[in-house]
Amino acid sequence: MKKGIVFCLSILLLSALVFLSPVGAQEDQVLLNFYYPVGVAGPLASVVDEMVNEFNETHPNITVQPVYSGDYDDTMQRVQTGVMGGNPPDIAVVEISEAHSLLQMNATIPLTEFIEQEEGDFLEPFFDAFLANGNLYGEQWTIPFQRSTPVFYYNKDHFAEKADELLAAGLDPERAPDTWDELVAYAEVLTDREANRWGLIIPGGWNDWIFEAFAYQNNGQLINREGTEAYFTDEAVLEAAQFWYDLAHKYEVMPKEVRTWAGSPTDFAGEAASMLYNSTGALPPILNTANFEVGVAFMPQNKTYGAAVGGGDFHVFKDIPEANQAAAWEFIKFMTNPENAASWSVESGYVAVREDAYEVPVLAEHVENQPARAVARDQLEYAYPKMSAVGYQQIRQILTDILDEVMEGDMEAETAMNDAQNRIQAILDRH
Amino acid sequence: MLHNIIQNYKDESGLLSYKSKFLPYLFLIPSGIFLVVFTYYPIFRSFYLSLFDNNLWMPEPQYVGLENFRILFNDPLFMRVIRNNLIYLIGTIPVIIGLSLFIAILINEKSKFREFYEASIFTPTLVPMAAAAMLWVFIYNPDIGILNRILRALGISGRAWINSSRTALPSLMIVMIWKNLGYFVILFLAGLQNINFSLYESAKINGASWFQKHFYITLPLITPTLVFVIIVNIIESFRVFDIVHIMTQGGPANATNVFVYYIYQQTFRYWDLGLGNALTTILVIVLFITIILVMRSLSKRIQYG
Repeated sequence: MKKGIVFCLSILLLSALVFLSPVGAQEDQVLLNFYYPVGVAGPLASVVDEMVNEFNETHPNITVQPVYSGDYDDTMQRVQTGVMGGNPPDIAVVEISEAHSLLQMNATIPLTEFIEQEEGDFLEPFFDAFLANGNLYGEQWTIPFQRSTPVFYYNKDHFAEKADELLAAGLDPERAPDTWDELVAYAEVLTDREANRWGLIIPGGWNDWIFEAFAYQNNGQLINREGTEAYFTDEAVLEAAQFWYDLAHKYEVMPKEVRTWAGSPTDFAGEAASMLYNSTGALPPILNTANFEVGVAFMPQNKTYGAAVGGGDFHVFKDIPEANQAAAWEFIKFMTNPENAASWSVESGYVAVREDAYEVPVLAEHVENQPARAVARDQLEYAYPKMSAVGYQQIRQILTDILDEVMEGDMEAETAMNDAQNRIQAILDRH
Repeated sequence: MLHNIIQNYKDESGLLSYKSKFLPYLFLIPSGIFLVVFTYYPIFRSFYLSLFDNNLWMPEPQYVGLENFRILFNDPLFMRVIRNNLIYLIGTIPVIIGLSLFIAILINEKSKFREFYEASIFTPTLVPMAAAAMLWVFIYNPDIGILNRILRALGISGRAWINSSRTALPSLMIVMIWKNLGYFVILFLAGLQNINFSLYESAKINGASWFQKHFYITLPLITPTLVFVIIVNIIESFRVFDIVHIMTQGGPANATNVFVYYIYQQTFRYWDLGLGNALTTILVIVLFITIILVMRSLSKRIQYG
């Protein structure tokens, strides 16, 4: 009988041991937890690992542990859980629209002090459009890392194939459409029902981001910089929504069922459509899989060219030792120095976050060989900050749902935008 | 060692001693701890938290009574979610049960290649959910997916499947039926083995048709398995999450947003912990009531051959 009790107790003990894993820490070493997402297709996690390894080798006192945290939403979730549980990461790359939420949570520190300690103007080489989202209440809270804008992809072979028809319609088959009107005209010619080919795909998933670009192209804005007011019922935004509705239902040049964000580059590379809106980050997978000549261009303008920047920035967290924050700054400086910004851009397809990276040979050569790479950079001249507010996740979900319904034709553009205005303004008011 | 314990237990069993009453509970302690820590405590904690307005940006949670439940029952999206979940439940359970029982009977009657049929119908169950879901994402691709290609080759125009809010939910249901069928076939096969073969023989001698045989003998005698399968299926259909998360993320336009996915959105995307916990509480109550109802109505009919 005694044996029996000993047996049971040992089982209990074993199960208790599961909860107690040993925690080891080295005294003189600063250990940094670095959460990062991969927001585009491609084996970028291994590229990040390589960069981190190089940093660890060159900085013997600092060890950065890279933690791949899924996509942007997953990463934000992980960061928030960590902050709530009193165990934040030291550094994280977070989607730029989340800055307001992180500030409201009191989770991150401003980097202004570190920036001012650096010689010269540290931020000067960075593209202004990329700094804007992290610049709130007079402080710089983030440093750009993996940054993009949507760009316009087109299948040059399809354009050549339909050259006669395009010319007949008064359109130049050698270039991409430059205006919304031209977009419709090109798409009407290129849509080929027999070949089961669409003129154009605007994918779902991040269609809020593409839609924001359309609003900017029409001199409109979705939400103000402070994240307090929504403008979905403004004429400029309404027109953009109506234009989307018409592309699918009046001109019928775009699928009536929303294609997924991650799947749309495959659709385009598989020649299911002749033109595509997607992130510049989709360029490498498209170039790798397409059996045709890929064209990349500015997104067509209406009143002006326009794009909202996108991607992720470095944040440094609050409730960690000061030594860790200083080490985190070293890591950020390393990851965004011209050489690394250049090689990161080459590997990932993202726009390099600073102008001088384009003088680094590896990127300079790359842009020379693939002029498509320069399109997103040049489009930055017309790029604006991405919408951002506390509770952005919910705002984004509401907007993508509503845009899905507009594209499916379940809702008229005006009803949809009224709905968006009411629901999103209610969230802005709540915080 | 275990043998000794059992031996001890047997020796004293006639006396109904303190030890013999005590010992079974001792064995239950390890799993009991896990149940309490990870199941019962969270259920009650979740009910408690559902009474607070609580999100990440509020300094202190605020007691609001049943306000969260009032918000939910006035939320059109929540109604949509419940509707989606009911469609899913009504659409999948009869098909899964009917098909798997039918296939199990066919396999049971067939002595040749029996293992082959069992193995081939069970294979989808072995594929990890995430891998199966990704596979179907490609099969369903409206433009370059194999399903539409086959349809087009047959002269039928394809559908947008998971990309259209009209067909997305049924498309997911088909995947889940494909995925789960084999598991229930195996369960029914095990149940069929327990039915005394002489019953069928005497039925045959008395001239019963194939349908009569199974309606009057198989069905009543398989009820214990049936009850189990129905309950597991009901729980599974309220719990469905991974396939939604991987294939559609609740879209397009919430066409595939189901109960647990909505809990996930409210809790871990929007960090509205009050609403998330209220949803969890509703789910627990709904499941509890449904299972009691099913047990009550079916257990009366259970017959043991």
